[in-house]
Amino acid sequence: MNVYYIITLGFALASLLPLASRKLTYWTDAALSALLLGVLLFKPESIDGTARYFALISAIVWLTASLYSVDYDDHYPRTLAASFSMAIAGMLLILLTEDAVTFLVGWEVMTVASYLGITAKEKEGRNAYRFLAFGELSALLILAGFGLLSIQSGSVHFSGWKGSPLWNVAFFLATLGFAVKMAIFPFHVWLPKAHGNAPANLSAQLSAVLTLMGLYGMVRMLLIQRPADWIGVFFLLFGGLTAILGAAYAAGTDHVKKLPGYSTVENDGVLLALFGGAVVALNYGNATLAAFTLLALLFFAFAHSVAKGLLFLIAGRLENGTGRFPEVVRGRLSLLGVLAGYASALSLAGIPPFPGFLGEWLGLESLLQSFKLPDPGMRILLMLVGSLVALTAGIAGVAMSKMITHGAQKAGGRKGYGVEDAGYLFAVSVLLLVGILPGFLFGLVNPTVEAFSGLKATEFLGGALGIKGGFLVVAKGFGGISPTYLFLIVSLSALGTYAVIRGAGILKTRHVRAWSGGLINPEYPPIAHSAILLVTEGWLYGTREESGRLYWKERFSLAYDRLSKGYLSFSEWFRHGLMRGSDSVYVAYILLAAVSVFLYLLWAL
Amino acid sequence: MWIIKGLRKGVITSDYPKKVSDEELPPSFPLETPKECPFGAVKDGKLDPKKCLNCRLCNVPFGRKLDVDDVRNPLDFKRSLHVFFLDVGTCHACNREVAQLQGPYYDVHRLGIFFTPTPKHADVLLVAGCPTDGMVPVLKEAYELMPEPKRVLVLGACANGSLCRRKVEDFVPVDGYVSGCPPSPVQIIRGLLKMAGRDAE
Ligand code: SF4
Ligand code: SF4
Repeated sequence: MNVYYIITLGFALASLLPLASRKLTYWTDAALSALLLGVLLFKPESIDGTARYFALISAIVWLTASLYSVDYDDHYPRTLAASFSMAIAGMLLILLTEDAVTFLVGWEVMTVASYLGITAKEKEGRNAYRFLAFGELSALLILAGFGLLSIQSGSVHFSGWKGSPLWNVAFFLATLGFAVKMAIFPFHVWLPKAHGNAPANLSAQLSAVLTLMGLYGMVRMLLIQRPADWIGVFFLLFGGLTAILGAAYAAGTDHVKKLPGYSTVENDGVLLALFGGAVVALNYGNATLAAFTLLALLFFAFAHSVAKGLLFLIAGRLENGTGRFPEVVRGRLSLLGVLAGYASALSLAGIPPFPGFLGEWLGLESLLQSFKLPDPGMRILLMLVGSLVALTAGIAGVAMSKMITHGAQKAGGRKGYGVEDAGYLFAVSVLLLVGILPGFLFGLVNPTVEAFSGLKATEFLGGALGIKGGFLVVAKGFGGISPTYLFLIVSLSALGTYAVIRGAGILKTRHVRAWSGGLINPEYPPIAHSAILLVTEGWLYGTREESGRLYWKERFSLAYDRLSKGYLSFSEWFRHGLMRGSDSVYVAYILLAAVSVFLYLLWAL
Repeated sequence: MWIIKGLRKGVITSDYPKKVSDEELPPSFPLETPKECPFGAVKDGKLDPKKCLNCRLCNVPFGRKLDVDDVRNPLDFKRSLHVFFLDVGTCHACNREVAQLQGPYYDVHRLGIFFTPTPKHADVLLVAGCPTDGMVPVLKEAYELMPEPKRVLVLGACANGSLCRRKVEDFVPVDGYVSGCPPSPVQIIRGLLKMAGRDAE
């Protein structure tokens, strides 16, 4: 039995600890995550490269979230702590296993445990159900895909599936299942609601790690055998759509925790698009581009998960009462917390020196290199998706600046540091470290990229300008620019201009109040932050104006609400038709039926 | 292309500021100084045209009078002028005349006069109306926000202090007056040009 299974067992056992004390559970979780992290980094034997990479990302988030939870969870029911730990155990099972059955067991454990965790917050029954419904939909799709392959090949081991004639159909079913979990359009509506309303430590877990598991599943499938073109095209298109919708709604919302929720939709959309891009690139025989796209995907996954986990934790501290931005109160965060808020939001907005910048650049670079492909239709498609993703990155800036100006910035001022600050410090230092020295991470994704395309990820590292080789990222083989150059050029020219203007005394500043048309209006309301988007893209937001205030609603969510209402009334009607009268008579029927079946069986034997 | 062409040609619809025809100014201002005026436009036997409402209650036959603006402290500008217009309590007639300035007939853009939506970009604060309680702090704030050098030009009998007990001068320093009730657009343009140090005549 290897050490990873022992750690998994530890997490599973820790889910019993809340009976004694919730704090103890979280401490145990933190210790186990730290142990996991240590083992993954320094003694990574007996785990395959892909799982190791994903487990590493997860362990970072788990450690941060567990440390945070120690002080956060002091008024939720004990189920929250239990489900937090149990979900981790489920996810580890997913990462460790080599066969489909254990994978699905892990998947179910993760989903059901998270569902219980979401219900821990009262009045969230509906959102928790929504989570469960889509979770089960995804599980069913995965089951269908895996089942098809298992029956056809007679093996439940992933490795036994290679060369199956049903590969494309099964691959599509399973990856669609994973994509539902990652909130692909049009299934994205559940995510912001469920993640936005869950307790913060669980939201971080859901958004950062649970969706990562979906990605892991997809990459796993990809490594077994490459699928047909059309699957890549499908994910390209829907990934791009998901990304742009997620970004647009994230920019529109003024709910502290739905914003990161929508941002997760956006990032997952980018990941899905990159997934499609990798498939397409490889199918057209461009191994370099495929390797680079997969590298972008994996790196982006890291940037998204760590920063998003951190952002959700911060959002949990900002949340207060209605969960809207104007209610954010001072004194919720220590200085370190504010910095963590800045770091995570800046990373998600794609600003150097955080990994989000590099991830964004890698993603765009790989999607916009479509002219390398021979097929003109594919070029247009990739260009289209690439521009959608580029637009996404721009809109994400609006959302993240909202998070900073109306959230993190206003919540500072708490004296004294707690355990959670240790978590913040850890996550921020990881972000900074990886943002500045990404080479290490490239080394970690090497096995995955190599298994997929035959090229090493570290081949995209170069050296120039006296910087030692191995630290500079370059799109070797198809593009000349490096994000480091970009960063240096932009910041140096900005600094230079500033210095010239300051030095020459051209810039004379005078500080006056903002002119608000004579109204006493010191607050710049969060809705005004995105008002331009809300007004100009009214068709997307369904914007309406009432007594001078803007309201908007997510279009697709409305459609789902109608659908679910229709379904409910249908089932009500059905119930009426089938079982009129009292429940006890119904139970008696069932008993009777059971007894007769039993008797029939006895007789038949 | 057509923008450049239009800018170069330019269609001047009114003769101003080349010459001011008598028809362009409203028939106003008593020919001779009246004996008394219910609105206090006559002081020590002299008519103060800035305060006259053209109401004819004084029974003096109307005539024409051209020096109806009084700019004391012009800017040392050669070219464009940016104006922020503030209504501190008008009957709206002054506003309508100011609005004419941007129309095709007077078109102050051709003279390099531009209206700004915020006082932070303005050289001249153009004020009309009797300062009401609610607008006094706004007036002061707008003045404060303006960058140096800044000037205040007041429009109409209200702002000049004839109709109400208050006048703009009581709250912010005033550098020029345009008379009339309401003042005609040509008068306003003249006031603005004088304020910019570009007196046409
Ligand atoms: S305000 Fe009326 S009464 Fe007074 S001078 Fe002018 S026209 Fe005569
Ligand atoms: S000066 Fe005359 S036109 Fe202007 S606001 Fe006063 S009353 Fe109206």
